[in-house]
Amino acid sequence: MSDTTTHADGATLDRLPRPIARLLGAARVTGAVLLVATGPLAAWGTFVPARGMPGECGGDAPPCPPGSMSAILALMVAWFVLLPVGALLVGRRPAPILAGVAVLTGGMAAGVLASRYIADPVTHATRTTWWFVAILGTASVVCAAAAIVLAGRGRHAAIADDRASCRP
Amino acid sequence: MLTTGAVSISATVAFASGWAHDQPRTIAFALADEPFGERSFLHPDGARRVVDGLLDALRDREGVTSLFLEPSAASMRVIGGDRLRRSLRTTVGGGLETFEFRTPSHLAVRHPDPVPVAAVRRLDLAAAVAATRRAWERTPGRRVPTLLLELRDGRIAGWKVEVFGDETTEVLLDPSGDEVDRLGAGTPGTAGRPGAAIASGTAVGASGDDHASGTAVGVGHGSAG
Repeated sequence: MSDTTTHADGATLDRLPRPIARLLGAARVTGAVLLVATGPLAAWGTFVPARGMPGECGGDAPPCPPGSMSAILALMVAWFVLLPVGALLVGRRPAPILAGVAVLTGGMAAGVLASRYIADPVTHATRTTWWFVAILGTASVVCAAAAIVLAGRGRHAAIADDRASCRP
Repeated sequence: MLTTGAVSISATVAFASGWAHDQPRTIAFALADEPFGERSFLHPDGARRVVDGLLDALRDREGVTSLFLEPSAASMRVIGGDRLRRSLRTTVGGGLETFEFRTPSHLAVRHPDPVPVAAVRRLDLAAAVAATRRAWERTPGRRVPTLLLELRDGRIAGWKVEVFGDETTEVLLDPSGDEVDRLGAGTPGTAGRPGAAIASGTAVGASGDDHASGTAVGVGHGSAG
């Protein structure tokens, strides 16, 4: 992945005024960092609720379990802030965005799995867990595979795309 | 990106698992699942630790008038040299609550003579816990096992095991933890709630009018004396 970026950047940077090229490179790196950061946030965001959330809590209802607010917040930020902003910053490249989605869904699956099978248990019920992990895990693996394939194949396409979109 | 993601997710999950270990829900489930497991106060080591911890929290010249153990909590009542009574309670989650009864005991109804701290420290908790476990295992629909130290005239009379379930099992033990009598299986009326067991246990130690404690006390004296 980083190889691709370097190659593409190298091709692009030659043809752009230096400050803009630098800015663009920084944006891509930042975008990639944001996309990767969705993983741990999503893992935390599913780990805590998977240990049981009441139907209603906070306010007049009994207080929420510890960590649940941060978990919901983490999941929200991962989905609705980091993923879109990261995707915008890396530019029109499907490979890093797919990798980001793979990391996000993988993080969610890992959070649930760890909550039930790695950490000390809070319940014996397992069926929902397995469905959740299976669906998200499959999505993650598919996205990761697609990202790898696209990164390999799209090297030249990305360069061409950069030329088309970045030239004045 | 994928590698970095995997590494950071693993790190998060490892951290979260450590965090979850001491969460109230985790502890509650572990105790409901295994009332005699390692985190329980009815585990031999756990019982020793919590009882010693409570005794360490006592002031000079204080003696024990009641001791009650259940998987998630342990409580002790004491009377000081100034006849002032205190109640101490600790839970598996940690922390010690103490409550001071403002009235000196000569104004209150009845109080058992306190047992010296050293006598409580010498108790064979492992044997009592093992007997509790045996009672628990033969109780249908078993839920919460409890263990109450029976005191009488400033001496340790024995233990009373109560296991709440579809039926309530009561077992009386002598101070060394040997089974003396089985009572009350299938008679929930005699058992009451754990809280009531503390209260009545304290009062009963002095009066001896309750049939269950009466039996325990009688036999307990025989083997203790």
